[in-house]
Amino acid sequence: MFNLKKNKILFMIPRHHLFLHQSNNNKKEILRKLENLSDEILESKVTQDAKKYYQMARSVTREIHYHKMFTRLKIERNSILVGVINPEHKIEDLILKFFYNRFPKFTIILNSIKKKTIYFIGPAELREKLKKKEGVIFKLEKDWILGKSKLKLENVISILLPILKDNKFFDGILDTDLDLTKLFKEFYDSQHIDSRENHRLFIQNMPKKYQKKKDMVVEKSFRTKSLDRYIKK
Amino acid sequence: MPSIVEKIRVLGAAGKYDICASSSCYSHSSEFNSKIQCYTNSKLSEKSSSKDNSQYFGSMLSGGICHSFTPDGRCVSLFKVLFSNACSFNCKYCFNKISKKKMTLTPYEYVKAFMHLYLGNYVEGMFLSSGITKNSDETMEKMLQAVKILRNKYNYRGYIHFKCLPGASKDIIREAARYVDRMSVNLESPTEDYLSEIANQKSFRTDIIKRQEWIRDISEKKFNDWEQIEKIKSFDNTYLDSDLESKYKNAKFLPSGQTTQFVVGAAGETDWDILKRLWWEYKRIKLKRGYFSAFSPIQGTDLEKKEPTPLLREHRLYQTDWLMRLYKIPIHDIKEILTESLYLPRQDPKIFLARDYFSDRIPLDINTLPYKEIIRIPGIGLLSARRIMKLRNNGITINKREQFKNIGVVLKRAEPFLKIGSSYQSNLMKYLN
Repeated sequence: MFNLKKNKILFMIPRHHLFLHQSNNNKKEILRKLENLSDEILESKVTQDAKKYYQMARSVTREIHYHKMFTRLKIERNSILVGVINPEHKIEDLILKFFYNRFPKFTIILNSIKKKTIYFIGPAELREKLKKKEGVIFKLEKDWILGKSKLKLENVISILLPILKDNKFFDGILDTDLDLTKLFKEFYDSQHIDSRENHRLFIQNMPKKYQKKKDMVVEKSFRTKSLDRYIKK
Repeated sequence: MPSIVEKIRVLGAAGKYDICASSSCYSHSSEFNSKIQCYTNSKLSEKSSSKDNSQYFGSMLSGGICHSFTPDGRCVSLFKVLFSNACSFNCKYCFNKISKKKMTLTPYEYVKAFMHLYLGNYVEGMFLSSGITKNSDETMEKMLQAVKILRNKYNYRGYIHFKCLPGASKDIIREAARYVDRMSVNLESPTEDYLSEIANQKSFRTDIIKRQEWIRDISEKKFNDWEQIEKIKSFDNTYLDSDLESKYKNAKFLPSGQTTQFVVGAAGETDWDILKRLWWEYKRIKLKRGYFSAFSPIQGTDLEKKEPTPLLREHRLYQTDWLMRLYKIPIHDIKEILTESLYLPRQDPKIFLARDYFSDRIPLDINTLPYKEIIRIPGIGLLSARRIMKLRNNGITINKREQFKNIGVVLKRAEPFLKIGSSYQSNLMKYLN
């Protein structure tokens, strides 16, 4: 009754250790040691070394996943999406590529607060025009450019906006009057079933580190209940 | 005239009781690289160029992304807002029945709200459902318009879950199946008798099971119907005319299959009734998965005085469903662990199944057991079992607690069943015997 192909998918083990290169602790000796371990040992974490590498790599993949989940993007004039990130590992490129693949009509800018750097990804056409700009470093990768800058966010946006083509694809549907945070707040509040309230599960699913993000205004607010709510009950 | 935000507040609250709202992805699909799938995208890889890529927006490559969590701990991954809460049906448990503000979103408003949230990375996809305003076909037609705007005008290639309303015609189901990733019809109850108690306007056999069979038949086909492609061109010919062929050719209908949902405890059904029906659905309807929603009475409805179903019952059903679906434990084994009144035991069903299955053979030696039996041991999941098999195949014997822990085995649960090295955990029963 079950599809064999489907069951095969279930057994695919993510090769977390491939992400060790993105880890903050990727010292050469660790990577060299890693090469000497067999795949079976690595995947089964059966030795202390293998377990250590697995945990290191897992912390990278976990961080990537959380950034995909909780990075909120703001739309700037229908052509740029701006988000704030705070990663410990070197995962900016991976997050940028994830968002660029999802929204290829936009140039994506991510502001890394801890590293005080602005990272961006955009179409290859930007290359020529960006060459003349100071304070922006970039590299060409296939059909897109990956760049970074130590300038302020506003400055990077003001450099990129004039050289980007007008994106008319979303004209008419993206309404500047519609407050995105307010829209999400109404949607978020509407999804909650009172009788099922379970704060422990909420905290388990949404680590405190990410709750503290400035973008998480809506999620933070549920704990500050108004008196009206109790009076109604 | 209510604003979009106000409509979202009212219609979102009406849609929150629909549990089946997890997203799906293609990244692990074996067919991903070999076939062109409907609306799938390509990775930023050597094979694709951003020129092809830039025609679309949205993605289904990453799975399990929840963009937020509500205070009840459930994830917010899909834009789960009803299209309309004006419903002509009179289901006894339903929230729409008592809703004073009747509202309907226009297809354009629906798309607009969704696009804003999707671009802001607040949602992972769309879950489109509705109350039945006049009749199922008319309502579904309007819902489908929103999907067509997204797919044809804006080339959205992300995830869409479309609710098939009971009694919808075959034509409209077939048309919807061309645009969406997953469809579902809510069973609500496991049998005709139980359904008639809570929703007497719905016919179990014709309105629900028949529709599920149609969806199953449609999802087994491939997208080679050129007549339909012409139809799409005529709907909106401003985008991607030349690309339609490559976009649809050999694409699979409903790549994420179909699902269903039960309201647990509303009609007094037992766990055995639900599990039996679910087993039948997996076998005959090729269901991807079932969802359970513990009944909670809503003031103003006919069932307002009925006791709410404990959430633990819902949890046990999910655990058992998992065992049936992924561990492939047959239904007759599960019947053995049910109580006399045909409910699941209060503890983890896997422990009861293991006691029943291994009974005289405990303690077990992990180094000799076949894979099918290893996964039956509590505390050992599919991934840990796979790791154990890999090590065994490479001549490594597992005989230390440390090894079990590193592999990911939950020893607290597994230890009563296992022999680790030469020792095993005794239990009180042994001395009593």
